[in-house]
Amino acid sequence: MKRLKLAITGLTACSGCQLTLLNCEDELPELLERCELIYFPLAESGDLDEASFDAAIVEGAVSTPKDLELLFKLRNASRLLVAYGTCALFGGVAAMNNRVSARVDLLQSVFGTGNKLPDSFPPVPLGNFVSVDATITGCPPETCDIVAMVAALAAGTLPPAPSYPVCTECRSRENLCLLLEKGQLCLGPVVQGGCNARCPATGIVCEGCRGPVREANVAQELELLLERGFGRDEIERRMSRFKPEWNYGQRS
Amino acid sequence: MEKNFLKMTRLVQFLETLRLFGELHAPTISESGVYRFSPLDDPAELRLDYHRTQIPPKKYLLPFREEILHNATGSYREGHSGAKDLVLFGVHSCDLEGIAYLDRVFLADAADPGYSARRSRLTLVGVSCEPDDFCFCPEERESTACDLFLGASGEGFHLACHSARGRAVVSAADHLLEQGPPLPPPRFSGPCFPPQDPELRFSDHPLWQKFASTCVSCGACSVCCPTCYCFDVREYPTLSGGAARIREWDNCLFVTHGEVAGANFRPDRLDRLRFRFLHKYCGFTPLQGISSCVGCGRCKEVCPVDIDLRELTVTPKRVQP
Amino acid sequence: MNQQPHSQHVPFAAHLIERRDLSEDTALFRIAPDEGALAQLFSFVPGQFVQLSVPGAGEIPISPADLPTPEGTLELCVRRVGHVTELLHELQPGATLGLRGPFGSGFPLKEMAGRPVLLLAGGLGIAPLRSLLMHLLRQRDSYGDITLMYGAKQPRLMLFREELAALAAAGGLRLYLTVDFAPETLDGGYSCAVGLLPDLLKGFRFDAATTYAAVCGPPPLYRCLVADLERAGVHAERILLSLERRMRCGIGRCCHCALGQKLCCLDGPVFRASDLKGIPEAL
Repeated sequence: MKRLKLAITGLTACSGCQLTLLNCEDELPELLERCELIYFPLAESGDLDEASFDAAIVEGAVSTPKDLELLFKLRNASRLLVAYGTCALFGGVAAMNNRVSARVDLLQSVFGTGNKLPDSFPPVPLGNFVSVDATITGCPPETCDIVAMVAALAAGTLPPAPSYPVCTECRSRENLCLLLEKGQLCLGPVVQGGCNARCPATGIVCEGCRGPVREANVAQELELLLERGFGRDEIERRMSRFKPEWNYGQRS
Repeated sequence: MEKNFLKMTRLVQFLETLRLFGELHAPTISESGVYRFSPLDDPAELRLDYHRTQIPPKKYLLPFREEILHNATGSYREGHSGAKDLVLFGVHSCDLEGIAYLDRVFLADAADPGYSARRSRLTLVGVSCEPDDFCFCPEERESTACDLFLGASGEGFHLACHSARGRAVVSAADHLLEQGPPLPPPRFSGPCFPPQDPELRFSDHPLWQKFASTCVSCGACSVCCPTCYCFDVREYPTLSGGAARIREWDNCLFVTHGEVAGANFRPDRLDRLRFRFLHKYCGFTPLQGISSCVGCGRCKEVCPVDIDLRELTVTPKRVQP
Repeated sequence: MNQQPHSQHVPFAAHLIERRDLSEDTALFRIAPDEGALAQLFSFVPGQFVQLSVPGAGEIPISPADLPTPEGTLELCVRRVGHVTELLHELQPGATLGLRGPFGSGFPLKEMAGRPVLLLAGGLGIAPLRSLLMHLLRQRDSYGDITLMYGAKQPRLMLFREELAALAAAGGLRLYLTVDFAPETLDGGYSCAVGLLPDLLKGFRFDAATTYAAVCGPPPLYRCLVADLERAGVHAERILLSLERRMRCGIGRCCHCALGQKLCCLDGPVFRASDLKGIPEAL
């Protein structure tokens, strides 16, 4: 069987998504049998020059000229580009203040006013600059999703992409509904499921780390939360934690 | 006269007898306060005062997610059904009728292998209930769609057998039973919300628009419905080069439900609400003309925006022009 | 293999024998089911569908494009439009596939005997109608006039055109082809009308009172053609529509293919236009 030539790397991010892959200890031997990890700087050295890949799995948001350069290189060198994790798909936590703070203020709060500031711009998803062939959402993604992606790529296909909100799995697991029963600021109805409602199952509201579900009824979620006494600012701050831009008027 | 009365004081012993027929599951309450059917390790955990569990007993017959086929060698093989002897104790009439409906779907021609394997090893023991504000089944309903039904009466329960297995349970528990007053006459059994005119889905009832705009498509109504069974089928390749095909509960209010490659036959939420109405209250081939609503009240209780499709079946009050 | 799998639930193994490209995104796949499935597939009626499994990608419903051959192969005409079909298009002869079926109702052949038949195909809709056509031509004497009207977007997307032309040349079939649009660089040697499929119906003289019409094409085509056919005098009971839905199970359980209270997998995929009145979501 021909081995799949892979690049796995990150842009502006915490490397958590890539670690998720390294944490799939049971699957790693099989994974290495099916794949050739040509470029995976987090785990081993590798050379990007002159390389070509069947797929590049890319974590993180685009936020520096270096990110852009790497992203274009990977796009050009790969048949398929996989946006890996919430930052790569939606901007993620690095982008949460895109709408409320100027980039320079954010940089100065980290690096101080006296120093030369690094070259950077507000973090955006990969899709703002290149075409993306497949996505894995989550912060961090579920291990089963990255394994399914690699298995599908190796089989010459892509994994199916179910689309339902966190509530579906949450109810099916017989969790207590934190939104209705506890009046908490839970984003379950508008957020893509697939996490098996990990957080609500332990009594923590859905923070929305997997981004919006298709046809999210955002306007109604907003109403539900306003009715429960949350302020619009607080709601928007929470919703933008993993994705800065939401259309709050969207109903379908 | 036959012995058909179980005193409340003998209930725990009766439960022990039930264990002879399989792993005993019954209504309990979770740490976070959710009623559910779960293994009854300690009879003290039994909560017979429950109104409804969040997830109906369909979870035992049609798991949320199930591997139906796997393919390791190039050809497909059936997945493991996970069937085992199971006794479900304390099921209300609505849920028994829900199972009876699912039986009609999954045990009909080309019976579903997983469902029928699990169903054949399931013993159902019903119990009478006290309705709350969400319930809308007729009072005094007592389903016969079970092996054995316990009707609360005075200091205990009347036992009514509805199958050979039910009679086997009663004879195994013979030493715990006593002669009771004669059994009350059989009461109403069947689904409880009458079939509706399919044309109602195109009525100009203003609630259609309202529901379509407020529904958040969270899926709770169908996840929690004892008779919702729409499912999605997906296949995942495995790293070892094989494949697994899974089936998972689906919801007609999801945008993907009516999609084909390149088109969607139910593109708007209103179209999908109509589909739900039609499936629930009018039935599809071969159950056309049969309502599958059993009156458990779950959809109403779990809906974040208080959608109750039954409201669409009554003539609306004249709205202001 | 001693143990027969449940054919309705577990796919039979089948092998890809050959593929023939018909256009840039559509190919004809010849598939040989392993022995167990043969008997079932021989009972296949044009218009019925099979569930084709491409291991690793999943299953799709497809109406075969021909009757099963005596040597036991099946022809499926498939366009590259999703995960399953993408992977199918990458496969080499010899690859293992899976088949379930046949499912659903086909064309009412007995009832159509002795009658003229008008086949109206748009785009990939030619596939299920080709199997009906092959049946009609094989039993040529049992039917009246046979006419095929086939419309494609443009000449290079017209499937089976040489084959259809040869059948028409051999007699027994009237063939009307049309393209929505003809590029200026149209290669010579082949001619067809330019215009939409319903335009072909205009001025077409036929015995509307006895003709059966069989229609298959993209969703917007049906409404338009049903209205035109009815206007021409074809009774809705004799207008047969082969519909496309996404059957997951094929046996009336998953409910994705419902139209009104009917299920496409059990009641269809071939419906009479008269059965679909009052079901606006059907067409």
